[in-house]
Amino acid sequence: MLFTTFQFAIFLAVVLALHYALPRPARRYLLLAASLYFYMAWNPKFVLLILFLITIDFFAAKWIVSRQGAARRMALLVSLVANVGLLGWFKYANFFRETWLNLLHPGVPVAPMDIILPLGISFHTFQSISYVIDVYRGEQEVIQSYVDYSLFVAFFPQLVAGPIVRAKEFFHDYFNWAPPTAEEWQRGIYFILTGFVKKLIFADRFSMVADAYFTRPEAMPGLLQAWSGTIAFGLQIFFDFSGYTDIAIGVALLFGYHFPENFRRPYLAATVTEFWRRWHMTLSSWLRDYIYISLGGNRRGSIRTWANLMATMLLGGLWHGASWNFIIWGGYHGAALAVERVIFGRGERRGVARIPLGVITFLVVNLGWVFFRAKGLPAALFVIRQMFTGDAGKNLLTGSNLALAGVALAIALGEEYGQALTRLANGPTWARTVAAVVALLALELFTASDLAIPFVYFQF
Amino acid sequence: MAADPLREQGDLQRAVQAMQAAELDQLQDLIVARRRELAVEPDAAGKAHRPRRATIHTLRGAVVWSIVALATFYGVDCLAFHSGWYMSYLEPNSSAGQLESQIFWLRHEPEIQETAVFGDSRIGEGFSARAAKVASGDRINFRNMGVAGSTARVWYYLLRDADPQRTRFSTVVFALDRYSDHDGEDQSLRIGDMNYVVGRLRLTDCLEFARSYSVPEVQSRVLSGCILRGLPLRDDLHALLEHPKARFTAAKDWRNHGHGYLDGYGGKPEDLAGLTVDFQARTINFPAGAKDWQKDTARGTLLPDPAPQTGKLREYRKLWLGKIIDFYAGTKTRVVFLEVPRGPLHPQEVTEPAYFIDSVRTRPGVSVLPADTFHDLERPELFSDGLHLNHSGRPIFSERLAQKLLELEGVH
Repeated sequence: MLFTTFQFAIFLAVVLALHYALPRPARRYLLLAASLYFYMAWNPKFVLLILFLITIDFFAAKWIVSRQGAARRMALLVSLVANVGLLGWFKYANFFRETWLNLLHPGVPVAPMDIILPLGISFHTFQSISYVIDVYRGEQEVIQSYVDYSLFVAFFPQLVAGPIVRAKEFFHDYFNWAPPTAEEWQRGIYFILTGFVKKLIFADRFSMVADAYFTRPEAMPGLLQAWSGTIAFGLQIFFDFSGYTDIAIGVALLFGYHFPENFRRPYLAATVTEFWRRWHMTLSSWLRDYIYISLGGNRRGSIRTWANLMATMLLGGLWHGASWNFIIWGGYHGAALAVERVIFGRGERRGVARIPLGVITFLVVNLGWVFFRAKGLPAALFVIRQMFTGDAGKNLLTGSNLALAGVALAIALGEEYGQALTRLANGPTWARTVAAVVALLALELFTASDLAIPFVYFQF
Repeated sequence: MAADPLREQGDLQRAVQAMQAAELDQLQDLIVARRRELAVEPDAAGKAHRPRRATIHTLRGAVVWSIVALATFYGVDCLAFHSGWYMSYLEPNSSAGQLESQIFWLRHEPEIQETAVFGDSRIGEGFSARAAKVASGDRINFRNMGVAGSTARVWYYLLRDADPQRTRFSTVVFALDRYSDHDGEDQSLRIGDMNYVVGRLRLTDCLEFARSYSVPEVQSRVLSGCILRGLPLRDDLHALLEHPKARFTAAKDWRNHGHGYLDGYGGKPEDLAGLTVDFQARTINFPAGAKDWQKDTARGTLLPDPAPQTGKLREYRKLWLGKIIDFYAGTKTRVVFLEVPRGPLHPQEVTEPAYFIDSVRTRPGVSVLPADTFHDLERPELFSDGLHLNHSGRPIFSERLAQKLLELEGVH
């Protein structure tokens, strides 16, 4: 069930109405049932997979707190094997099998196994893993109720594409639940509308340019085509994913839950390091807390730090998808982070220097998107070659697309340096009302497509 | 707010980890997050207090705010798109623009008894109201209500607003592409109909209009478009915003002079003389110099792809043409059906069942012209392409229609 469909609007209205109509003890059952229904609307049988993992992790966590020594570690191991194993099977089995068979029999085509990737598996497994590890580390109290824990994993606003919510964040709201204030409600609506505008007006429009280019890049050779097609995808994926996150945050707020921020104007970053502090922040912090720091972070010297950065980003790349392109994309960012450490250290870039550095970072990040978007390595390499050695060609980002990019930049700068959107979101009721009306009119009149185009991150 | 030992313990551990890793930015993030969470606001007396948590009453206020915001949005939408203001500046050649022009002219021209001829582009191209009037000896005033791409569903909503008192037209003629209920394209699924009738639909029509589509996804799109007219008019609005001055000028000119332009239109000069078809072998020989648009329409008309026979056209006609017949039931207006010249050539006649036409031909006030009334016009030299009569076929068709209507009225 896509957030941008009429079906979801009806679903949300019904669940919200029931949520506030039912007595408080019944609400958790309602939310859990609604969340499972939400997931089953995509593919009913895979709800069993979620329930299986929920069961494993719920009891593993209980086992961890009630045992000592090897038994604790065994419980953690069982949970990790179940989560990573299933994620690996559904997401990576074909990739590793194909790679292995290609090594054994080079040139022989490998027919893929018929495996359907369960929607949102990368998100809910990471969420579950963080809970079990936090319990193991003593950072999270074990959850005693199966229903409570199930709701944490399956809560529908974040189930299929994040943000990756930590147990601590979720249960803080859950156990101290209060209805949203009028201001929070308005902020929730504001987030939802912002998300819709990002997705339906910005992302879907940029996707037309990006799809037209990346479907057959060899049909559009040229330097400008390569850069503008890639930048169109960079803009698409930002508006698409941050739009989804905004809707998720807004919907959760309407139910009285506060999800963490996931994007903070990443394309205004002056370095790649800063980019990752602003892009998909819940995944970045997850990778930092559970992989980078677990590997030793930067406590074991420069070379080990670079290696840790590289390993973390390679895994981050692999998390996005099972292909060499994603691994290269992750490695590219890992290398960029390591190089930045050497050049800049860890200090923040300030002042006017941010402008040229910001432009360079934007181009570096977009160069990386080529691997993310292109179908296969040869296609990606073709695009990269065009970016540096192609004839001038033609800019694909023209007219309304260019105007939209300009509007987006102006809004981002306004928020970055004047907190324009935050002021609006926290402003007087009349201002929020006007903003809501303008957003609704924009959605009615400037939506890019009548078709419900799926969110990019659903494939992960 | 009571201290949360679990949370504080976790934060402490994270802080230690961050310090160990010398991740100062991480530590900074943590401090900022905790400060935000514990945010205090000074009150008038300068005392710090935490924001109050909501009660269910404030939530009710928030829901009321949501409804007010939605109502305000809908009010603005109605002002722009339901007030008729925007409809007067539609692109004249657009689907809605064609329909709205017809309504505008009917409302702003002297009201006289007329015979209105409804149909798609075959009527727009193939029928001349002026020639028909002359052929009738000025006994009948004709009005060409042909709208390119329209079907019965569109005709119903057009007619309902064109003749709200059901007294304006003495006769309404409906030109069917064929009497047979042989299924081709499923007309009931044409979401494009929404774009024609967007200005004619009332809020009370929305459910019925949406239900006339059988696919739920289409139903929801159509329902949304009926309630929020900006949705189907989006492309038109974008075109207007690109060239506003040109649009306003063109729309005004069309409103003031468009009917005259149409009345004076003589038809297309091209023809398909020399066209031959082997229906058995499914091959077409086009005359030298035939253009692509002529070939494309000819292929579609002369050698259509076979379609499954589901009875959907019969049901569609029963619903929408049935509503039109019911609209005029008990009035003085006669409803006439005719079969247009089907194409520049036609295979040997095969009698296909025409259930709908057969079911209405005996109804009071309904007349059905014989199917072969215009079959002798199905000649390549009278067609500009595979569908439309040209400037030679247009007057013949118009004059014959006038004669047939006079015959129906008993005038010879």
